[in-house]
Amino acid sequence: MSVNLQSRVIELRRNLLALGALVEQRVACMINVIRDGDVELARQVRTGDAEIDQMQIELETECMRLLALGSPVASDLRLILTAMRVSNELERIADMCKGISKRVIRMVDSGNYRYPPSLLQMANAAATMLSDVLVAFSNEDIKLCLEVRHADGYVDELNREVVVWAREWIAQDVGKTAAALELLAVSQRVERLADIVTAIAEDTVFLVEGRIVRHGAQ
Amino acid sequence: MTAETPIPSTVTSSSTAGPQVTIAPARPSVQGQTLAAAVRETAIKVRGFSSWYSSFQALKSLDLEMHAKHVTALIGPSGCGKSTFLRWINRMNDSITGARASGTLELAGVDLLSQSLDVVDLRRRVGMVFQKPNPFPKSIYDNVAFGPRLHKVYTRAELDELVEQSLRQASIWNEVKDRLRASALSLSGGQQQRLCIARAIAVGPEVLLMDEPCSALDPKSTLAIEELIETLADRYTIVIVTHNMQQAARVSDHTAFFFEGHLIESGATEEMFTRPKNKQTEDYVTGRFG
Repeated sequence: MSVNLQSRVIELRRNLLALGALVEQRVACMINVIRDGDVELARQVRTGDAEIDQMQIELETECMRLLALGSPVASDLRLILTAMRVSNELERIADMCKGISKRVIRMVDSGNYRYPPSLLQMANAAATMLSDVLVAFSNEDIKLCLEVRHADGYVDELNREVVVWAREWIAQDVGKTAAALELLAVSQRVERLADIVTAIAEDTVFLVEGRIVRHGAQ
Repeated sequence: MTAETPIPSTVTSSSTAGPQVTIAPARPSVQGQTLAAAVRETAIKVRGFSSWYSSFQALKSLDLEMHAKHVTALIGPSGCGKSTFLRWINRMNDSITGARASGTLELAGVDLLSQSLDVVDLRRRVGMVFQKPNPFPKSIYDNVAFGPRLHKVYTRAELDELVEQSLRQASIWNEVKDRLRASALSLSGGQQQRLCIARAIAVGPEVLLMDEPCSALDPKSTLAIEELIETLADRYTIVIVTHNMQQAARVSDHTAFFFEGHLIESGATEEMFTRPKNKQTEDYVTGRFG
């Protein structure tokens, strides 16, 4: 089983990175949706989730199989545990993209699609974080993981700017309250997306060093 | 859609990359933090211990501490020296021509390599369970009573009590209590191995050495022995040699990895099987070699 376990662990890592690449594409589409208010693309993002869901289920099933049959330890065990968490986190990122697209469609349909530059900066920052964390996972690069974790603070700051901007928008025209709330929902999801990417960075630290650094631990 | 002028921003950086953060040293395990662990008693102390079979050096300057009333697993590929090391703990290598050792090997402060050491008494203090069950061709009762009779004169009632307690500790009493006079050879392999454990503990040892005690047993008997090891660790210091990584992970508190006569790494079993420090340990426990 041990030789088999080794090859299957390598395949697991490869499949996880393939899921990551797919989610990365989804996030890039989400940025275009926000930037351009592209309803058609938004609809594609909303309906294109099945492939990611299926990949996530397959990865989780493979992890369970390896845990049950391969008796993994040390780096193999850490990879399998990390793959279970990260595949779930990537699937949630795709869900966030879906939710963001849904809100943009509503805003565009209502004829009130406006947003501050900080929203696009947030989305771009979150996308960069995702790309970096996938590189960090692939290269087992702890330094890059910690940079990703640090970048989450920048996204939080931009989110606060969007909140202030939305408040001003409502204050200027109370009739735009519904659209402003949709905008806040979009911003909140981008902020949450960056949080999930941060969790992946923390999972990667566990993968490499066996240290659990979630919940603010160093 | 319109991108509006932002509300005055406090953002000063457009980069997502923050400053480099220094990685904190890994936190010690919970086990490493407990007071009990800090003050735990060392049962077996090994310093600069080497051994030879004539000119062949089997063990090379080992440093290791085995804690009292803990289970220490010795792992490593065949020929790495773990069984040789185990046999030095009760001086079984004395009977091998050309076998010699140097360095420190102490049990509770007693030099186990001393020429003046009473080896018979040592073997009362350090029991041994072998790979293959080896009951004497005697009754179940006599197997357990054999050792105590050698060391001390007991009344019949005392001996009955000792045999029962030993069989109970070895988790076999309920299976044999109605046929104590039956031949030990009539028992199954798993029962015979538990009988051998009962025989070993009947003389009141401090240490139990187990050399692959489950390798000749079926899964059910293996489980019974593993559960027994966990129970016995409350009373005895146990050192077990095993080729079964999962067994080492399941039954031991500490694990020592041997390779080509060297002690490569030792530590808490949890650490050794989740984040070993040494690459060779990592490769061995994950099955990449050995």
